[in-house]
Amino acid sequence: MSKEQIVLVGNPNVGKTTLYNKLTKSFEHTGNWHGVTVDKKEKIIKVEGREIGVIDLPGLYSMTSYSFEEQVAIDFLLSNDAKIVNICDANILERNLYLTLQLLEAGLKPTILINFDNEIKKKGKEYDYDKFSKILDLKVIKNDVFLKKNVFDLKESTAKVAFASNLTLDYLKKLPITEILSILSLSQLGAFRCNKEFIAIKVLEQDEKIIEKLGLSDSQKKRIDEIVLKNDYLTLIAKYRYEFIEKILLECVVKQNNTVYGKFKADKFVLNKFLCLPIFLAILFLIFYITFSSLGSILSEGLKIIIDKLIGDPITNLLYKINAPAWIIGLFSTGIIGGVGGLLSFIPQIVLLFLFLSLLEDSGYMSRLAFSFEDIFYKFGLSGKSIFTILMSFGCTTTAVLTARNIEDKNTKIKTAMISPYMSCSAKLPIYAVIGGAFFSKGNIFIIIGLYLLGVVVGLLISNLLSKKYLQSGERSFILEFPPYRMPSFKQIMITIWQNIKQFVVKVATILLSFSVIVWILQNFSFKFEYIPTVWTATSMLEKIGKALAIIFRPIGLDNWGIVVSLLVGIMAKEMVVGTMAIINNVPNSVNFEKQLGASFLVSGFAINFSTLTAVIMMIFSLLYMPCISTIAVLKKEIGWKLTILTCAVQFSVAYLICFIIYQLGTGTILSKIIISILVVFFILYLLIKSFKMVRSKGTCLNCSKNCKNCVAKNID
Amino acid sequence: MDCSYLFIMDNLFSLSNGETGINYIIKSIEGSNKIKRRLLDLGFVNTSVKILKRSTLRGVFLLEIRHFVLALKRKEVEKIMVAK
Repeated sequence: MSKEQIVLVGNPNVGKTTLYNKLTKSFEHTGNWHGVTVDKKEKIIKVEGREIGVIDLPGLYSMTSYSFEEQVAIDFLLSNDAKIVNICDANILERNLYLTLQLLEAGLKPTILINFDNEIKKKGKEYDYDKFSKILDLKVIKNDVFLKKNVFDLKESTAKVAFASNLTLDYLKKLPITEILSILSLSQLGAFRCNKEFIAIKVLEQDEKIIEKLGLSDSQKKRIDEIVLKNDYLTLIAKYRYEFIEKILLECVVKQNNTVYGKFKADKFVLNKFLCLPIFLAILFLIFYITFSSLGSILSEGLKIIIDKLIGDPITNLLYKINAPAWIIGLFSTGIIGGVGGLLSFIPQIVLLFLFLSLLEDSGYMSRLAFSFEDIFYKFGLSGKSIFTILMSFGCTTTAVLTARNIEDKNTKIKTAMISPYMSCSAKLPIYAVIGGAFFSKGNIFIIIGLYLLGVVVGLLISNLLSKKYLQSGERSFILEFPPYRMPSFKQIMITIWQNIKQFVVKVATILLSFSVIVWILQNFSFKFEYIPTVWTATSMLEKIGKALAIIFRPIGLDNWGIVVSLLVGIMAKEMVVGTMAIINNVPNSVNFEKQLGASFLVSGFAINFSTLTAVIMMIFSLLYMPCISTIAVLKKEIGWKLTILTCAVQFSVAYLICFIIYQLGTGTILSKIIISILVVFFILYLLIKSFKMVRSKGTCLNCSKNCKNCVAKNID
Repeated sequence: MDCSYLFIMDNLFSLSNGETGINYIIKSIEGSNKIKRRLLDLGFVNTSVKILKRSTLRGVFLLEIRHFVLALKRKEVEKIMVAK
């Protein structure tokens, strides 16, 4: 016997994943905007001793797919015996039922779960759900996913009840369904596990996927075309469905109220053309200020003291006490505590960053941002929805790349994924904190903001260049629903933060720890495997490797073997850059770890040292040079090998070029400074003129204000 | 034909030429099957629609339809034929 399954279906942003998390006690990512869930997810729960698989699907507007993810969801619904729970948002019941109706057409019997009923009650709207249930002849559960108590009812009721609907969809009689069915053969219809009427409707709607699967013969095609072309069935079917829904809802409504879902007074300011950008920048500045400058750094200092007093000091003392060999003490105090322990103190800042990102995400502000940014991002070859990915990249690029999936256009999706590694992720933060802190002390917050901006600007320019020829987006569509502003759920935010801390700590404890140890061994032993602090004449393995590669970095001023090695290790994980530098400069972890390491950069006696110029170059280069291994892996999965290699190659070249220009401007002869300045000015002017032209350009077509082929021909006629 | 909606018949015009804040009645959807189906799925049939806002560069429209708010690109809005 096959396993029992419950599948959660519904429009985007009705709370499917929140319900899924509650049912299965999972911690999947949720947010108050559309398309957060991009994958089918399944988890098994136990109800009264039985095992039930709960499946979460990406949101659907209808049973016609527009993307690969939607197709996966629809195929699953049409080919499985899973019990369906159709989650409907009470705020927009009308449109939600459009999908429900299609499930019924297909012969599927969903349980309806009404969500956000408390929201409409507050607004003074009420439905009679008993009547609603009777008319539809379906089980209807009023269950607010965001209220705790009802979840367990649902667990039981969905597990127990067998569904059957005897609702007659009377509009089907008005359509030439029997005619279509008479053309199709039984074996063709047998390929589908749903009602044959539904197949006929899909044929009338000219659904490419269904027609392709039917494999029609030429004569069948001709006969079907004769019927289909007689009328505008596409519009007609939608009209009948909506009329049917309106009729049902009219009967069930107890109290009517005409508030509009997602319309909010604050949007007047948030979407205002003069205010939207200042508001956004003010929010960002506040986030960065709290995270990196005030609260974040205080908490970070505190944690550092705790780590040191509780872990670092006692173990080092113990090692001395038991007379451990010098290299073991060294490995522990600089290799492990220095390389990895210092990183743990960044936890408060990471927590704050993710806290703010999830607040933004859950509040409903993201959709407003996407609307405000669509126009300008379109010019750069991106979508307004790319702003989600860019903001998430400030947290972790690896997970952010996945969010690009909810962008409709394929090339736009690829470009968004390709530019996300340019954004400054939370792992790059320690680099700025340590190096920038040493050279710019209080003013470092502006350096950090500057670096974040630089990442965004470079990313946008790269996307713009890619759009020119290689990855054109053309006239793509953009569909975005406005969710209402909602109070973010404390629990959900805690879940997101907890997930990220866990991920960070696990990474620190596994990959970062082992790399730290490897780096420390390479640094402290020569190729003859002598422990260097005891054999002063030997050169470490790391130094030899670094020196061999350093020549590549001479033109950008980073020809120091220690820096080269740190950057190399940084490809494994960006968090490791600072840790590696600490190991190379032999700075043990202490309360003032950050400051001591920073101070060592100013002294020429240490292996790694910077001038103010090379410090800036180092920060810029670390920001741009390469995605980390885990991001590369995700990129490969999302956009394929070829484009991933291209992404890395372009990133490295861009980072190198920018740093080269800065270094030459800082150190070169007067002549080279002048030549480079002129070239840079010309390049910037060229870009400005080009984008200015794009904004101003008006074609001859009166409608699309461009020169599209069809229109030009017509206008000349 | 992409530009068939140029020819105004029976006071029918494209929503992209509409004014902000006025209720229009949707008469038909033009354009390719894909865009048309998408708009119909979202409820652009047999109802009224209002433009709430146009974006700064006028490339995106914020519409109110069936008691919810939806942002669409000019390309799609052009295909929505409405009457007063």
